[in-house]
Amino acid sequence: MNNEKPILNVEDLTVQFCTKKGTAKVLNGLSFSLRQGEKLGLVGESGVGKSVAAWACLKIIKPPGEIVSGKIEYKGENLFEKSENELISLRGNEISLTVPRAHSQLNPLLTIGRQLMNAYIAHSDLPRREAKKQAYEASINILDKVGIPDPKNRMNAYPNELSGGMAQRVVIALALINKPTVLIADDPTGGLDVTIQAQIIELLNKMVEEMGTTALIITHHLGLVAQHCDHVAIMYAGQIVESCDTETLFASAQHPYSKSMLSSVRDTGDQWGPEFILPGRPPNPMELPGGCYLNPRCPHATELCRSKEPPYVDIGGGHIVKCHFAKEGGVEYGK
Amino acid sequence: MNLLKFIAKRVLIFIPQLFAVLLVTFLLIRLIPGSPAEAMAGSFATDEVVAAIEEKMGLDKSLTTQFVMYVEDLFHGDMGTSWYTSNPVTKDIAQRFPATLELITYSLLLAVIIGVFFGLATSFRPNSIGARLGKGYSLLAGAMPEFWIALLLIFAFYVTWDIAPAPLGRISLSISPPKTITGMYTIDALLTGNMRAFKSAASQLVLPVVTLGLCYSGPIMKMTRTIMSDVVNANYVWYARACGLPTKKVNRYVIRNGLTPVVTFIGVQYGYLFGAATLIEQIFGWGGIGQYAVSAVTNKDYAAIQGFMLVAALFCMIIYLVVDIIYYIIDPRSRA
Repeated sequence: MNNEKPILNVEDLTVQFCTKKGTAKVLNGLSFSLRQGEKLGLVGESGVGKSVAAWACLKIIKPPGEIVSGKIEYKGENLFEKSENELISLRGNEISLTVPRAHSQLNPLLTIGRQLMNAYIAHSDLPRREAKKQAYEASINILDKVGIPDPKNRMNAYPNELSGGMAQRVVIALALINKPTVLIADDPTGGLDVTIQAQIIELLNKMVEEMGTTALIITHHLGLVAQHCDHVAIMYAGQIVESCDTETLFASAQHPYSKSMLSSVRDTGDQWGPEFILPGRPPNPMELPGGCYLNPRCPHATELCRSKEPPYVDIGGGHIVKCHFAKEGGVEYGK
Repeated sequence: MNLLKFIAKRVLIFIPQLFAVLLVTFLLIRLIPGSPAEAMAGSFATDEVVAAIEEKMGLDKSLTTQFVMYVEDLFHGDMGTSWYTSNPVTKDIAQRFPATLELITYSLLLAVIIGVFFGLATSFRPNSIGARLGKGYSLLAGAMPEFWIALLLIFAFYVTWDIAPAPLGRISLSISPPKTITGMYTIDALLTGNMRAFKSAASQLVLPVVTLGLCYSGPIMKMTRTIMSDVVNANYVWYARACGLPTKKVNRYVIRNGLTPVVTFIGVQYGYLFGAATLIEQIFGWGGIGQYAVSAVTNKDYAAIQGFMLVAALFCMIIYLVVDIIYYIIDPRSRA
């Protein structure tokens, strides 16, 4: 294991949404950490709590969600102990977020230039006039960098005048304008055409490399992870079920859920045949099964899996699997 | 430049719209059973007398001829003569339109202030005193008919405490109205520096304006609250928070984006009030255009009805145009 201190460390994060219909347990002891300069891919199906995790890293939980327990440490300091003002100066400045479906994420009444400048000015200590001047320069600069042609004129464009790909680029520009330390890219390819997806990924990768940003890429797109991430964490029902470096995952994933994900995508290698695909869907966060959350879908489930939550086991070289059958060297199923 | 083009386009559409309103009104009022000539002549008149009156009024001609004549007159600025007041309709309207305009403008202003304030309070500070007052108020507002509120106010402030003037018109009988410039007494009085007239006109306005303001602030408040609660949770507002924009700035996003649709709603209410203030005009002896229209309809006063409809239509069109211009300026999506 790498002993370097993580720059962002999420530990045992539990988030619940209390509604009239019941309590949805969206994150259930989510833990992962990001080291300086690393690119971590957080992978899971829709509805496993990926976006909630992304927003939680900024300590923003949309109501009626609540953080029940856990902590998030940024550079060793717990975000949950910080004041709202401290958090505001952190958001978009040190830790940034990009969001999918960019059109609805941009204020429809303001030009993209105005929105970029607002984001810049919000984190500038300079007197207003100078901050504005700098913000203008910085905005044009970042628009140019994210590949928006004719940035000077485009500053005056409104979000509704942009294509989906362009809007996504603007969101990336918004997230990167203050040169953050950590970038959280929530589903950066969501809602985009395949060709545009490739462009956006290329762009994100280029920007992150150039700026030396530490990145958390949240996606269901395994191909993207294979190409660009150093580490992968597979998420299921608000928990990490397996985490290791990217090559290890593609070569020898251990958790049945990871195997299922790998085999449901092409181009992940011949060894991931359709026999690994699990039946069923992720559980409803209001009615999580007892024991291991995967047990109703898992062909290897035993009485133990139905009654007891599995531990995290390091099977060697920092390859962590959350399964009762995981032991040093791999997973061996019993009877 | 684009804005000018936009306005020009809209104004051009006014012409067919007004023409359609004119035509439909013209035909519809002639569907009211009974001839106005009969009404004028009285119940004992012989057929010959009625026919003579009809001829004088031009009602013996074909509908087409009548309509063409009316439109021709309109182009010369003549809206015909009211059979009931025997004044030219233009003169009647010029006198009554400013009265109503003055009343409903102040009323709407009051309604907007109350409605938007409470609407914002309930959505931004749901636990504040303002918000609680607002919630209680929104339950009451709309539950009571406006004429009833008017009578209550008159009873309390005029009859019981005698701090409001008698509900008899737009200015105290002992004070002569200010010189006519706009026709709106408060404004004319201010323009001519006639403070005595201003005071009287303003105090006459208080009760009817409060009545209408109270009634019409309810819907504005509910509208504001609904829209605000949507906008507070809009994706772009959350994303603005994620970008670390200070709370003040985020709130400004919410207010600006949320009030845009409220502008439309207020515009619609303004147009609506134009006719809906009639009851209040009646109670306060206002002599407004709504009263004029009602008596015109009951008296089958064709020219007066047509004149009212024309003015009402034009008024609404101008209001909607202004709303659209405001929209054009603040919402880029409307420019497509």
